[in-house]
Amino acid sequence: MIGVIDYGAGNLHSVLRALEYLQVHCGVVKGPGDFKGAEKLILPGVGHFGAAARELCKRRLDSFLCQWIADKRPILGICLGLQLFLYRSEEATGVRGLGVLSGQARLFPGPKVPQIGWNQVEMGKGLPLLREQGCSSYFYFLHSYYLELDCTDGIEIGWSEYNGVCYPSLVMKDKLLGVQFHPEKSGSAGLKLLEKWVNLC
Amino acid sequence: MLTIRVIPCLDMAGGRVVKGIKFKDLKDAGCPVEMARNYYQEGADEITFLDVRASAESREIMLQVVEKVARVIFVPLTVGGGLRSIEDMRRVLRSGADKVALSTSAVEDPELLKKGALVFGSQCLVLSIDAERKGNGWIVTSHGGRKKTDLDVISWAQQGERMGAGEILLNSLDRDGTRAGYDLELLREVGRNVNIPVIASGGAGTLEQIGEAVLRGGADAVLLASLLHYRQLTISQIKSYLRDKGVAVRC
Repeated sequence: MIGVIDYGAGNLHSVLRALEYLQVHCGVVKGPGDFKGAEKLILPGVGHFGAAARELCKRRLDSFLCQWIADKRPILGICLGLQLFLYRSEEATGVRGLGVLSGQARLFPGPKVPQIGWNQVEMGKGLPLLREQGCSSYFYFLHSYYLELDCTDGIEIGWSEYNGVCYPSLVMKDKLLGVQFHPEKSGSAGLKLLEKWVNLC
Repeated sequence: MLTIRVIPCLDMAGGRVVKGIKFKDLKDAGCPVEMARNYYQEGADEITFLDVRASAESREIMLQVVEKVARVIFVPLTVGGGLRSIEDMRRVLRSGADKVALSTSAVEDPELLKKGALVFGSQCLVLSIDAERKGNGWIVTSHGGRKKTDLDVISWAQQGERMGAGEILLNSLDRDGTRAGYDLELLREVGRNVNIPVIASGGAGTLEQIGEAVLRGGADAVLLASLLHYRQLTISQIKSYLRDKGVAVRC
């Protein structure tokens, strides 16, 4: 079963709809008591870094998630979900993220922010998740902050470019996968990626 | 590289897709779920639904349509028309929309944009502006173009951005349904005065005009209705034309 984490700030339902479409068994996880039976987790996200980080803490999900990741169990962070893997974000200075990836989320320079639309992800050669997608490796992005990693040791990275900034839009470390784009809104390319993640990890 | 988006727009009334000129003389253009699915399969980058009737009953039907569409279509959905409160927005988003478009309700109560941005985030708030030429500029109209306001389009767009809109859907009422081409001057003026994406709407008739909206008007996305509904052009024709002109599009 895939547990989709509900922390009140996510685009939970669109992720659930995509999993249902793929006929993947999934359920909603609201607190530490709901993890029974979950083999994989998805941390979705749309919203504000500060509000989301505080909500994870309030629901006592933060320490649970850190332990899950330390145990190298599969987890997928989407958009803000990926940014929550970091220590901090310029969106909410002073608020701590999960800190399982070392780095921060930074605000894009102009002219136009947020980035809204379809962009490409340049894959590292070690990323079987996206290999063979060819021309269809366009994904839907919707964000104002981008990932800046302090240390990339042991992390496989897919890169995107916006407003002159080249940034990691896909990161994979052990069984942790984070994507800055929305696979659940990226048409068949996104569904294929979700399906591969479900089967691979 | 970020691509230019091609967005089919389904104007809806009572659960059917309709099309008229300048929001009048509505004709039936088809079933929304079927049409949305076809456009998705043809490569639509997003899909927009606008409820042109915007009555309470029409809104309920819209929710059911969105609910159905969101189960089979996995690109972003924008829904607008008759959304007057945070609760209206919440219901539409919960039924499967990714963004809400506000027009009349934002004119009547600009605070609604601010409140919406606080609750749902700017990324899901689209300010829809129906612009009409007046003198050397443009004024904002409301109620589907039926009512003129004294708001200037440029300053309204800037105010909208400040209040929390994440995108502007810019419709030229003078060009809507005429196929005479987008109002490029309007697009340029709004585009250079805001820092959020602008979606061009109203007036598309040929591939060349669509190309001009992007290359000369600076549009970040193009919204199309009757041209697609009546199969005068297809999404793939538009994308291959844009690609030939050096515009990045998703293939």
